[in-house]
Amino acid sequence: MTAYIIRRLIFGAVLIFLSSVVSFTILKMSPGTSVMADFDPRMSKEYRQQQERLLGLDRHPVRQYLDWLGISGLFGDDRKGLLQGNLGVSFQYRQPVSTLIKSRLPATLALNITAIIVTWLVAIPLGIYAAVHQHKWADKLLSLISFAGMSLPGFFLALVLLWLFASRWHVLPPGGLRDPMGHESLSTWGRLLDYAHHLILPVTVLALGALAELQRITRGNMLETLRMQYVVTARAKGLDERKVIYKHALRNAINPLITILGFEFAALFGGAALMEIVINYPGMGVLLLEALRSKDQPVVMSLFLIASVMLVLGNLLSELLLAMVDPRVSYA
Amino acid sequence: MLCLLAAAFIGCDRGDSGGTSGGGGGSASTTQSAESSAPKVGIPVGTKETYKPVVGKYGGRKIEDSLGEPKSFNPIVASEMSTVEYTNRMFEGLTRGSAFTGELEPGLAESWSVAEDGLTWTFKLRKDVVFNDGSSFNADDVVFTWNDAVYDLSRPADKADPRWPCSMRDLMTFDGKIVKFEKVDDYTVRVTTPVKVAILPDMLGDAILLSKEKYEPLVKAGTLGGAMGADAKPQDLVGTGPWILGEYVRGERVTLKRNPRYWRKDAKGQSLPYLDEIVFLISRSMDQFYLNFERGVTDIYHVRSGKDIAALKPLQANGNFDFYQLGPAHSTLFLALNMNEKAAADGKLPAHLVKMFRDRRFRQAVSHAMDRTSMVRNVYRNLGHPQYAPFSLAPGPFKMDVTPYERNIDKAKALLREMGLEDRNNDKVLEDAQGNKVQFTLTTNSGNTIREEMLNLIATDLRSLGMEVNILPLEFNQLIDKLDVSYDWQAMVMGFTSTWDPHGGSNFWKSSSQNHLWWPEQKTPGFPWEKRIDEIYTLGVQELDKGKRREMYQEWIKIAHEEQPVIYLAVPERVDAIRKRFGNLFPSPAPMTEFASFHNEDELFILDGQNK
Repeated sequence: MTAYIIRRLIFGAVLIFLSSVVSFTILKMSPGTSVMADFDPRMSKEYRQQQERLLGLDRHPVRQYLDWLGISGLFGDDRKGLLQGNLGVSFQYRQPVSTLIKSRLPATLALNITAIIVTWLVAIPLGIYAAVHQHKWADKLLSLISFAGMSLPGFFLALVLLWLFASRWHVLPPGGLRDPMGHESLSTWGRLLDYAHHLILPVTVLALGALAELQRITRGNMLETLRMQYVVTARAKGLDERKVIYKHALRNAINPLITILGFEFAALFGGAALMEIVINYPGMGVLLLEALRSKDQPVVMSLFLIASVMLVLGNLLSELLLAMVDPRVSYA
Repeated sequence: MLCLLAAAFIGCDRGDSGGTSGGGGGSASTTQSAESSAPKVGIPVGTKETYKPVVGKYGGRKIEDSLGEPKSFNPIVASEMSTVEYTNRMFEGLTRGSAFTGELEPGLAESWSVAEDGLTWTFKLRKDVVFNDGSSFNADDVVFTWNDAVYDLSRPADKADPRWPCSMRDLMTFDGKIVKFEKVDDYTVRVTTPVKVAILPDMLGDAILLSKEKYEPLVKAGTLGGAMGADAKPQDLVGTGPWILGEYVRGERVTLKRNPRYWRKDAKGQSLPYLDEIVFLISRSMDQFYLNFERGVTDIYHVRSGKDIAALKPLQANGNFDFYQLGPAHSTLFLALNMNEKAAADGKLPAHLVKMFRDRRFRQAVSHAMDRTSMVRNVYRNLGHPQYAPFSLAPGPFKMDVTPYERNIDKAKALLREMGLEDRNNDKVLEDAQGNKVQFTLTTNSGNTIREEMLNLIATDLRSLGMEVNILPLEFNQLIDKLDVSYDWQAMVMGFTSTWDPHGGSNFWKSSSQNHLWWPEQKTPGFPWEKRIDEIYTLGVQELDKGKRREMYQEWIKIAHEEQPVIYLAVPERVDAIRKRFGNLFPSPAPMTEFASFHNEDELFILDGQNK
């Protein structure tokens, strides 16, 4: 098992390295340059060249990549990179990328974790219910909702809900993480309620989108296991129907869901980027969008790096969980 | 002040849907013969004469929106609007411009004079100014700010380049030489310029003056550029301005608190400002601004077009606000045609196109084809003004009348026929004598709805002349790449914010400049009129006589009006919706929309019963 984990981690590192090469190449090949994002027609050419030298953008792209990675740092260059534990300094904000990410992380995690918990708590029971009551009206209604949830883009739904609940009826805030003015003066409970109030809309939209898929998968797997011989046997020997469903069928239907959980782990940081942008949520999505638009190389590279690390870890995690849940799976 | 007014980034001109606009790129403030045509929708702005502040009361706060995060709070390094908005309030310059006329008023300098030679200036400083940490302000701080912070003169010998970026350093370098700052006594500074600089006092109005005591160690360590970043603590920002940093919550808001040590006093000798704090809510879109105002959270909303007025009018009674009409925006919006012969020779765009674009008759024909009235009607929903020459229509010291380019398709077609452009094969598209079609691509920065709508109207107008026009909006930094590096664009719609003084546009108008849009970095000016404009821009800034200066820039306007190097289109009328909570509210026509209504923020106070 340990050997397996080590092997996977080494593969993961190679994968992350390759994906950073690819993302750097794409970033460099896309039109426009970083300094130009700071376009001001009053500035002279010399000034801009000076700026480029300051940011290290006058160097060859390969060299820039090595700078970022920290290889140059190993050979006495004063630019510290990833290997020195330095994510670089944002061109736009002139601040360490780690500071930027740290300030955005809690908000993004709060949104995504809440959304995942809500989704799972709602989707799995619904999936089971739909499978058990296949072809009944409740199942059909759930299918309808699922398809609607899957086909409606989240950002669009968010805009519609914003328009209805925030702009017309004034029952929900128009976005953000908390009340920008009153929050400080609230009690601890008041603050929590304020956060919750602001999370209602994005969590609803995110959950509705993810719910559909998860619910359908649970239903499909349940239907399959319910047709298995051992379920028939269990029923034949007169076992309580609840026991049949929860103990025998569900335990066997759950494996694909664990794989999905791994992916959700990977999406914790960036999964709700579009939503964050639409509702003006102070999270990582907005940071990424701004960095991409202004070609803020260190920020973009760091966020991509985090995303690929999370994906590799998420996959590993789901495999380990699978081995724990299902005795038939073994990586020895 | 020039530097501040001419900020140039995404989200700079809010009247323009958060569009991009470049600094001072080519216009002075003048008016047009046809007086303001925008409908009356609000209270007109006052004048210098009607501006009579009264003694107010302490307390309360004001809330407004800000587009995007502050990138830093460092006044030396900062130049983008989202940063300047704050540094301008925490730091000050030697002079300040009147919000009503643009004329200079004393700032931290109480008076100044220039010697006979026109090069040596003497600035007398106020003696009652202290920094927000309590230390007193004197000539050492001024000399330090310019020599050490801006020019970075005390850098170690092994560093050829200054150690941090500073746009002011570039603007204050003339003929490759910097300006000399010397202390005469504690409250007198002598400034010597390498050439005559008429607007030197304006430029020294830039709000950047730092405390020597606080920042000298950072200059010695070479870390000033990274200091005062967005994670700065209030005590890291030592300036003399009316406000000090309260708190910055990333992604949410910036709060500025009153500086209890501020030097400006009211008529009763009480120190300003009256408000306890001003709050900026960080929003990502203009729609968010609207929502915030509609819900009663913010105190001001910069109206974008007639559509907003229609939507807000019904809410006025309950919303407790008035509309203020600030007059035409200090900005320009124009259609530029690529006249770069070198780029054509390099195969970046068809040579026959450049040849057509370089013909004055072509540009005049295009100008005559523009239906500016319908642009104003459809894009700005009547809240705008047609524009015919290189100036914003806002009142200012460089006023001048020009003849409008009336929409006249027949005249335009006649001009094109005269050039030899006719439909030779009955395909409804014009061709030149060699059979090349008049066909080109028109671009602008995507995401700016005003400009995209404008693009469609222009294309329709040009098609009616028999031109084949394709539309292709591009991402901003891609567009800048085309403008600056590859030069492979054909036609584009661009806009700039402008300043009271035409010199703010010198990098746009000088043919040798990198930002001479239609053909940057020319070795020698391609047209005789470009040569004359070069002369005007070189000599104009050196002319200390106001009357003569004005005459010179009027010649420039005449040339630009005749030659139409870029074809001006329309500018929006600025309207602010402001809550009826504030005393001493005197909205002004000042260039920067962010400050126009609240130029006297330190004198604002909360009216009785309006605290919330």
